[in-house]
Amino acid sequence: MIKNLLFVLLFLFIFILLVSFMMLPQLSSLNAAGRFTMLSGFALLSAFIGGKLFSRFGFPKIVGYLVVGILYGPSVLKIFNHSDISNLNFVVQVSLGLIAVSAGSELKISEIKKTIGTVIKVISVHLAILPIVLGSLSFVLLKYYFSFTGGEIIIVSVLMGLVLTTASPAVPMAMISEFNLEGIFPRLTITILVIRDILIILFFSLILSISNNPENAWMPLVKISLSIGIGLLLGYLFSKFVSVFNSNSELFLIVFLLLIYKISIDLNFDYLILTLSIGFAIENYSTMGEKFLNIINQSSMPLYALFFSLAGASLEIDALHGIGFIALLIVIVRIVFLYISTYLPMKTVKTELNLKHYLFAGFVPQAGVSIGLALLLVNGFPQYKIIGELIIASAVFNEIIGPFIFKFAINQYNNEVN
Amino acid sequence: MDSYFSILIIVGSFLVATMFPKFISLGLKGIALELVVIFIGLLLGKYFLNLINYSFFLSIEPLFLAALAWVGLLVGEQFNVEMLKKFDRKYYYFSFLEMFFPFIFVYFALLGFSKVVYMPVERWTTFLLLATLSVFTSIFHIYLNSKSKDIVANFLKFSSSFVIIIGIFVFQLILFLNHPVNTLFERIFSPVEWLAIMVFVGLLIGILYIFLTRPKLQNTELSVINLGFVLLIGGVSNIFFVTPLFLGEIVGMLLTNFSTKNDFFYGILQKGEKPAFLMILFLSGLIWMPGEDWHISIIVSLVYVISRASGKFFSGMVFGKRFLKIKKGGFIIDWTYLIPQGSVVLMLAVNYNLIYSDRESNFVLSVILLSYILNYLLGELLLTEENKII
Repeated sequence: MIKNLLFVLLFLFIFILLVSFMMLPQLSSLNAAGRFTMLSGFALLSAFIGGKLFSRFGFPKIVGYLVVGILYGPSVLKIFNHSDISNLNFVVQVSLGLIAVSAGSELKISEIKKTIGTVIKVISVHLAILPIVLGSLSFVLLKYYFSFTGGEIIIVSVLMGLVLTTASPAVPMAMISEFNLEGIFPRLTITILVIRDILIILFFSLILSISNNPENAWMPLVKISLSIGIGLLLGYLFSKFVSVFNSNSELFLIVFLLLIYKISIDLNFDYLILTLSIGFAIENYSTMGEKFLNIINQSSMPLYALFFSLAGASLEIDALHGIGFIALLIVIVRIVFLYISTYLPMKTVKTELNLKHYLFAGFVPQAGVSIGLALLLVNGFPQYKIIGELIIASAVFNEIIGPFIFKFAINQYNNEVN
Repeated sequence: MDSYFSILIIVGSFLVATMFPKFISLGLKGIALELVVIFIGLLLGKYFLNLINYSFFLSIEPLFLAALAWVGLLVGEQFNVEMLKKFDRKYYYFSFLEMFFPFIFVYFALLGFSKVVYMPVERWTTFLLLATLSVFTSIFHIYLNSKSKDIVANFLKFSSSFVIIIGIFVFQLILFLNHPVNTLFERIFSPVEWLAIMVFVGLLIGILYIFLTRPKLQNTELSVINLGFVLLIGGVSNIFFVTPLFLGEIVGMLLTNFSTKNDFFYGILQKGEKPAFLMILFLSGLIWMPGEDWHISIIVSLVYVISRASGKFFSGMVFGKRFLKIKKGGFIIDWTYLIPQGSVVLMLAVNYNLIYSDRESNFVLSVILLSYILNYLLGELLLTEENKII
């Protein structure tokens, strides 16, 4: 008990010391390289301390990373301003790329074959229920609460329903790694989540394209197909290259992802789908799968610490002002219907585990995908700016609540398995 | 498309640096590999092919700062008091002479030469800096070539490591004498105050580092802390206009003497040493701009190399006669091993160039880069001749 207390006090003291130093007003007007380097170091150390402190109290580490990020972000202590976060965006993107490669490499064809029936059932029910329920709720809110009257309100609601259905693969991936989770539960979670998100991105892009630019409505299909195809090709070539040169693949993978990120922005590919496909190809079309997962797992801690603390810093807590209550309502409805739409198909699946009650937990956290799609939606319908704020606000709630719910599910699963 | 190409080039340099160990089996060992990396950087840089976008280079400056901090920590790790106590006084005398004579010879040679030939030097500390850089010796070259297991080899190995620790410290002291105006504080500090501030900052970071790693932690957690502090040291050094090698060295000294997890840290620092070194060498080639002073740089580097070699020779001779009582011949200590300079000199020169970014700092980089190459060639030549005689 005393040892624990000393540990907490020591870490808190160091954190406060670091924060005090970083809050010196003089540090806000430094040259870019020095500030960038110092902030990266600070973000990593403070995230580590946050994760460690939270895990001492039985919480997932990523909650600590997120909370510390929120603390030093522009909404609270303002150690990081918006420009810092934008400068560090490529770090976030490379981390996200690594997480996506890791998620893609979890999709082993031989394993998917075993559970394909379950995966199809769950995804079908999710896509049949969630966009309709969440879209209807959006319609009601937009029409009666925010008093929108335009003719496009239906299409906007449909798109919003799709965006709210998406989930973040990063949180489950981080927690699977943190708790060394293995077996059917993590595999089903990631498989369903990844395939479902790709389908949602496809539907969303098609509907948005049809409503805004009907002549080129097929473009999203081409874009996503190309992202998948090129991702598979790159993943295959990358693993061949690395195996031939027997190289330091961890270092090379990071530089490689930097290049991929740049290409996907300039050539308008979908970065998430591209990197997921790379991971999928590495796992299924080369002998590097196992090695890669090990490498990524070994370097996962700094990666997740930096990624989630910066994600925490970029969460727009201010977005909760005024619409926090509405966002909370959306979050509650979403979680309830996530549970129902997972419970129903899982009830028909023969398994010794009680997955029907907790499989939904991995789909609760939201982050990059939903925020990215929300921005596209607002760009397509600028007069519905409130949608962006609502989605971001609900993503903030989901990002914070999600890890707790998933931790609860992990405990349930571990209890059943052991 | 510039930044694409730059990223591709960086990918290429990583390939060269980390993916072709076959280079070594081709006979490109040690410093030769370093020279290849510098030449690749030089070839791709602004002066020749201009394939790297300079603004892109500036965007990867944080990587460079982190690499310097990494090497600084590793250098500080050598300063283990318990281990240093085990060495006889003669080792310290030899190291002192190894530093003293080249320093004096190079300083006065350059000062004298500047009275005859125009040099783009306005800061009075520049000759002191060049003289300080002359004291460094390549540890790798000594370990690679010094086959003898006698006392001379031990002296050479000890002094080349010890000189780096002291050399970085002296380099920073001289920088403090001409410290760039820092907007962090309202008043201008004296060099002594700067030294006190930076030593305090270094100690503070080191103490935080040690305390944060005191509890029982997993290796991956220790790696995260190490990476975090490397970045912090790099960033803090940059904002105070000091070299991360100096701040890293102070932190490394504390770690090696007081941290219970030091063995682990030393292990991971050593793992990253080679990529960090090669990256810095690549960047030094990349940013080098001989500019309008290229012809003076060549002449000055010749003066620098000759005066430095004389200083090294003289220190070996004095030490041999005075302390080892060897009377026969002049080359008591195998001074030829001391000729090639370690890549730390290039790191310091590049860092100096980034701090000041002016014609003078570019001139210093030119002289150091050219002398680095010349010293390597001279060292190899002397070694071949010596082997023939043996």
